[in-house]
Amino acid sequence: MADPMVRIEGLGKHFGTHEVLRGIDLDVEKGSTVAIIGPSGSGKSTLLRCINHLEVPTVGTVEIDGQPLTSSADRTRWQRERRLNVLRSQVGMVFQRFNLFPHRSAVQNVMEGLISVRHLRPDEAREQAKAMLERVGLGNKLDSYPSQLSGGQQQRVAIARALVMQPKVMLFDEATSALDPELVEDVLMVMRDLASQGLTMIVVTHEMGFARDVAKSVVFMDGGVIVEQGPPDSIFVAPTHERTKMFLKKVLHR
Amino acid sequence: MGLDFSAILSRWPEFWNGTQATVFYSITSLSLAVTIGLLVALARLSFIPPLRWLARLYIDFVRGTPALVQIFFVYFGLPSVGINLSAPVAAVIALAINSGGYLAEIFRGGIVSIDRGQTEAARSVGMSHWSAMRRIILPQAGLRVIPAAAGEFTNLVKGTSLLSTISVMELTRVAQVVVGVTFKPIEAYIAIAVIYFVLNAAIAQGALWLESYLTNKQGGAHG
Ligand SMILES: Nc1ncnc2c1ncn2[C@@H]1O[C@H](COP(=O)(O)OP(=O)(O)O)[C@@H](O)[C@H]1O
Ligand SMILES: [Mg+2]
Repeated sequence: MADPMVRIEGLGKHFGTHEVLRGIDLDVEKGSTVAIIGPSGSGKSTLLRCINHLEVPTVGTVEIDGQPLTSSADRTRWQRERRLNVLRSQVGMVFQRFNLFPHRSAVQNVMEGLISVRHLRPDEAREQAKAMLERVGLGNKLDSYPSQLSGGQQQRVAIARALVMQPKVMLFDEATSALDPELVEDVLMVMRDLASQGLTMIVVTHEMGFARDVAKSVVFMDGGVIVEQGPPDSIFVAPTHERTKMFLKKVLHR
Repeated sequence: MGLDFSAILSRWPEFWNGTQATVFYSITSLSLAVTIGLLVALARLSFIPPLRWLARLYIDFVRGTPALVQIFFVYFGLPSVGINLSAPVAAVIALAINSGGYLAEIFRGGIVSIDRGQTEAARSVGMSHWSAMRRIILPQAGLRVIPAAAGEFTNLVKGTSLLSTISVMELTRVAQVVVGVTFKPIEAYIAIAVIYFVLNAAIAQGALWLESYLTNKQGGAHG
């Protein structure tokens, strides 16, 4: 694959003596969506969090659009932090529990990165934030606070907060798992829309329908390793590994 | 025998001056203590180990020794190493150092009580540790610590009575002087007890107002 947007090589993560990820290699092509599936505790969230170094990997490297997240050229903590801050601003992340800033209105949540990271003027930032909230269908909720929004609306604000930074890649960690069933579709629709517009996305999900329709590639993880990976047609229709078969049987026949 | 407040009432200008002094020392010390408390709390949570140790040492020392000893140390002790402070300056410094230690622990508790997801969300848009702290964590922690910080402010107001021992003319000292000439101790001490009580009731009420005002301003109740 020529010049992937995300390249993960030899990545491993320990928490103390507990090995959570081992030997992860993964390339994500520009403009494609990769779905990560697997049982609870298999390391999906940790992998996602290693991509933007919210968790620092024990071994291995991550590159975003050819730029490594850590470099031996950085001698001081301050230099390392600066590099990370720049790269993190190019990687959007959406959390299962939204993590909106409760003391800020919807539009202020979306403006935050533009102001404190990109140093835009407040009126410019507001303009962009407003446009982004309109894009996710919340143009009428600009001044609502998170506590006044439904889960689905909160998650769309969180998506707008990440998107407004014009990220090179978006990471979704079970973005719909905390939502009431009737609100899931609103969020999935936004995500489908983004994928069709050619945004690079890595999506940890239990929505197998979404993975099948939208993902170009599906990654099945178990026990901290990638067990198998391929286009949805081969993973969902003809998985080769026993563990994949068992997992799919469980989640597809609920 | 009955209580006779007439002698005390005729001296109300002195009590009024004493009240003003008590309020003055409370507010100046508090401002300084909040600054100290915040810096020490941040040092306590720093990733630089020596800063953490120093902050810990400061907090343990301040909380483990009597406030009166701290006041004596600053006012009577420091001159012997060449630092001569007037009683009012020594008073503010000693009270602020004392209260700063308690506030540091209150602030630290507030900061760590904010959900980790808040920091993670802030860092994931590229905010630095300091921006995240200043713009995301501290505003939420600040709201959360108002009740405990108000309690510490109350302790500080009560603590100003210790300044009577270094001849600062605050309420307690005024009462002592008045008792000396009127021989009405019960009345004098009842009078200042009521004044302390009213001051602290005002703080408690003010804290409730501030909390609900900020909560509303931040979009209503949130976890
Ligand atoms: N901060 C942490 N400290 C210790 N163990 C952790 C931490 N985060 C995750 N783990 C462990 O790592 C494993 C993988 O967790 P996670 O990545 O959340 O899995 P998944 O998202 O697939 O459910 C689990 O066993 C979990 O307990
Ligand atoms: Mg998870």
